[in-house]
Amino acid sequence: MSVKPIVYVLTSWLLLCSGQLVADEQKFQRFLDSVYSAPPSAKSLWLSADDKAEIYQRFNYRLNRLRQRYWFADEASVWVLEEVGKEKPITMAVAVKDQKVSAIEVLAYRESRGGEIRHNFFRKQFIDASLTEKNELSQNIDGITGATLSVRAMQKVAKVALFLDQKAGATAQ
Amino acid sequence: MSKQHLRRAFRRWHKRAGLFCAFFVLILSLTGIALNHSDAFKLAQKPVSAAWLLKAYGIELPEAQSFSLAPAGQTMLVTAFGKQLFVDHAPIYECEQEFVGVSATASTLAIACVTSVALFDAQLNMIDISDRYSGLPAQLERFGVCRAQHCASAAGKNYVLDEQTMHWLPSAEAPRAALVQSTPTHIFDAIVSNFSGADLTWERVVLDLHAGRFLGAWGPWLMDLVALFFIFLVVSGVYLWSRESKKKPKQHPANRH
Repeated sequence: MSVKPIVYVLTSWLLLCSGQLVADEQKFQRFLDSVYSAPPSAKSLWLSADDKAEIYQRFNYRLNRLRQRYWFADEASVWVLEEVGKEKPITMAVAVKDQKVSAIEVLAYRESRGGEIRHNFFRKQFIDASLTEKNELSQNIDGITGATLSVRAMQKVAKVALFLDQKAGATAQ
Repeated sequence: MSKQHLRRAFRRWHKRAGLFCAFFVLILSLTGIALNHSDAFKLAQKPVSAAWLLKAYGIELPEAQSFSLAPAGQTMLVTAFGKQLFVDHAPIYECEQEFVGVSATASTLAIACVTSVALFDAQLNMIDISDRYSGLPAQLERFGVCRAQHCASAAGKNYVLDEQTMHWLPSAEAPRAALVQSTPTHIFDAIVSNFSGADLTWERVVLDLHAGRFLGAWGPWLMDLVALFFIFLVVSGVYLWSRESKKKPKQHPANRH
């Protein structure tokens, strides 16, 4: 019996695993590289108690820190935010340009199911979405059966990122 | 066996089966309702902290490590209990992976985990978090103070934290870890009641109750037996109903001649 197929399968599996182990660390860097020609240094947006209360009231989202890190250059901001799906937090990166979502990526998915939101076919629905006066996204996002809570988490993160982008722009002025 | 005897036997065993199943019907109904509305009740997000229940699942409580620190001159007892961090008895932070250490400077408190460092002011408001997306050195090994600043070591290299930018700068000095002290009993008892780091949620408990897994390896077999009794109740109930419906209707006394 030839061992070549076994070697190929094992090697592929090892490469896949090691690639996945590396992916979580480098995924954000690749995201920044896709948004910026030269990734900028991080800035900080200081949030008052009123800011956090407003975010909670409008989006039911708790920001538990005094300052939120973000990246800004070429008129685009990038935010890294987390939201719990069913049990565990999902870490996402959102790029906002001209007050619209220009890119969104799942950096760390910790739930046991619902991971379809990581795929491009789902994420591309968010491109060019903006925030309406009713605190909703301007574009309809089709749900995924069995991933309702993950879908809601991504929608919430996109809305909060759009809001923070407005806040950061207003603060900069 | 005559039909009358058969009917009596079915009726007798139908009652006995009903009595036997009553308790299980109650449990299945209540847990079923809870599971149907698990999202609304947020059962998956409610951790179990009851020590007796954790013990039933074979989950042992972690050891507590306490540190007496004084950020901005305010003395406080910081206790690491598994992945959870408490100031006195109040939960303040939870590590995604293992806890590494804590340190205090003239103005801030820092809690370090393998994949994150959280910075707090003296009033314990979280200022910021340094993580793998914002330049935290990979796989922190040690954490403490050096030259009155928060310092860490990872992969044999030492770093000092710039609290304004949250950047990690190379440091010549290794971090000096805070000294561990014993946890006061009243603090420990309060921490245990707030423990949520066992990754056991109430949804898991309700699911196990529903499936009979609370009785160990025999639980699911017992629930199978209960299910067979349910089937018998259906069969016997339909049989008894069909026999009753075939009986001649009683004549009204006024219609008797």
